[in-house]
Amino acid sequence: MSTASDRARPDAGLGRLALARRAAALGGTRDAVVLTSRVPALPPAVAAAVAEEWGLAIGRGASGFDAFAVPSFRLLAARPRAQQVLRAVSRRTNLVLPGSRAVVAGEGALATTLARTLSTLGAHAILAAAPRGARLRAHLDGLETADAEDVPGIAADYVLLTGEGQPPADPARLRGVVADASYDGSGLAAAAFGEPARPGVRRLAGGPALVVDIPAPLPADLPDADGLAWGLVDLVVATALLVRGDHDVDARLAELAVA
Amino acid sequence: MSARIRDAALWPEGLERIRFAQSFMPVTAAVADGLRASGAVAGLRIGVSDVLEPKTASVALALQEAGAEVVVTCAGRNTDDAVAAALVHSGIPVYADSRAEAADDRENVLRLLDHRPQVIVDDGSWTIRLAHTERPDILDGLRGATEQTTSGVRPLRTMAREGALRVPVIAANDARTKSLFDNAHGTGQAVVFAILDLLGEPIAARDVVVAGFGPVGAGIARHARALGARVTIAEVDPVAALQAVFAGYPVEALKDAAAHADLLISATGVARTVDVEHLLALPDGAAVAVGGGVRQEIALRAAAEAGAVEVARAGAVAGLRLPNGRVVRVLDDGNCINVSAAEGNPIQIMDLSFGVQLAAVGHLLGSDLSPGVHALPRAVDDAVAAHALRAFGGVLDERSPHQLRFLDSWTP
Repeated sequence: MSTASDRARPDAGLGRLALARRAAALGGTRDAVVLTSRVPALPPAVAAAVAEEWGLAIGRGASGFDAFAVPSFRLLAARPRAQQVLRAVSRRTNLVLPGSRAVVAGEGALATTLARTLSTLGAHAILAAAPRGARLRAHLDGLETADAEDVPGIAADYVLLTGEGQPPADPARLRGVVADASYDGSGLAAAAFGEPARPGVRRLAGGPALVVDIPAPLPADLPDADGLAWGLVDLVVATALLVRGDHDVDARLAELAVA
Repeated sequence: MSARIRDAALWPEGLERIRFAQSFMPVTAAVADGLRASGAVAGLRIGVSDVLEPKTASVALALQEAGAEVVVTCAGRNTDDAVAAALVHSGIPVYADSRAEAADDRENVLRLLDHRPQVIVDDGSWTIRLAHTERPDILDGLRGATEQTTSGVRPLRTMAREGALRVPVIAANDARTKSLFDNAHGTGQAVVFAILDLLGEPIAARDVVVAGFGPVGAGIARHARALGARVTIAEVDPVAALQAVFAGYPVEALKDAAAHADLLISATGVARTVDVEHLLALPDGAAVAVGGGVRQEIALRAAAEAGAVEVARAGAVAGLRLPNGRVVRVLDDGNCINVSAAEGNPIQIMDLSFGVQLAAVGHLLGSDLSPGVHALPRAVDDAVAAHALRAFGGVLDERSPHQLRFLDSWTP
């Protein structure tokens, strides 16, 4: 965790990017790297600081480097994102997680992390994914599994949609407490909402679902970034620096994170 | 109607959140229906002294709907002003204001007692105890009380031992439907997420030390572990410590564990659990908090006397510079963080506890109990659990005739 003196300097900026500093020390030649647009956009102030400090412009585009194809990146991103999602669900609804039935829809590390976390803390977690391999792994972990297409028919207290390998879900077909857990807002299709049920929780117009607002992984402005967001910033910048150096991104990220 | 709240105009927001909570509280509703049907509380004056947020407000309203004249008080640090306003709007006298200091809190409890309640529904037993010390004249009319916390039941047992307790009190806290769920799951979830809200930092792969492995500590440990933390337990009870070992946690003396803690959470309900020596052992930047708990569970007064100084504050996170030069972060001034820095334990969990509290009120009024601390009968506890099981989608099995015969037999 950060030190008290760090916390007193919210504009500490690149001083918080421990992973990126280690990645930068490995060297690299390119002055620009494009990451896939699924990767959360860096706050502009951070992008500018990275360009100034390390001479690297980090862009995003559909044909950019797919960081989510890197296992270490997926794992390192999944934990803080899962924490962001569960924290928001718990705080905004004040509903119980242990003892609940929770469907997690998705075919990647985020869905797996969410499902395992929920299961460990006492929920009946159901992983909804299409690929047989993902379902087999979950099955062997003791999790109930379901086909992604069956999510609307599952009686559950929570439905968490990661958007990983799945199209946005139609909230009108869902019940219970629904949350878009994705990195890029791709978990849930747009919908019309009625009156707020409570702050951060909206009732779907004409449907039984309660939709919890989940914050984006990274805020637009630095002052709004907490330690979790800084961790994700660090991961994105470190990944871009490793791509710049043509390093084995997966192996290096794992080494740097454990170190 | 008398009341002492911050702003009566806040009632619409409070009522909205109360309605939301009520929609997830079937157990409380079912037990309250029973009280209404029986007329057990009709016309009775009932004082509710509890954390004041949407769930507890639902209990006050349920008792009111069952025919009781309800009065509510709450300590300032645990008061949601909008909810207080909603109760006043519903005709319930409330003595609670989030700005209240300790002296105001005491005055607010005394005002509740001046309504001469016939039953007290308590959290922490402060109101029951103040009734004995400051308003003994009301005790003859007080038919009894219920208490829902571990730390509240303990002094009541001491009072009973010393012959000072003059009314029957049901230890609702000790009911299995309460302690096995509220203490473990409810407080566990609420404490860990409240801390994460305040810190805004990743917990995965961090060292979290939990002092105490009772139901509360075990729940905190499980939630922290689920989110990826490396959890270490410190315990003084050898059985509880052994349970922690069998749950897969390292068990260490608190002073040793504190030395590698990124986050230290006290979950004992005992003052000065995290004493000055433990604070001094913490690494620079570590955070320290109390889950459940009592005042001075983190020995902040003793730390100040030893030379600790607050050097920074960001919201509810205070930087405390210790005499050894390290700065540790004290969360929410060492208050019970699940209620003082969050909205309290989750709704459905508190639904169980409030179902127990209401069932305890019914039992108290339907029995002829002597002064002292009494357990809630198993059958009453089971009835509340059965309501909850249905709400959570579970189905209860029954013993077969073969099993019943086996249980009734004694022949070898």
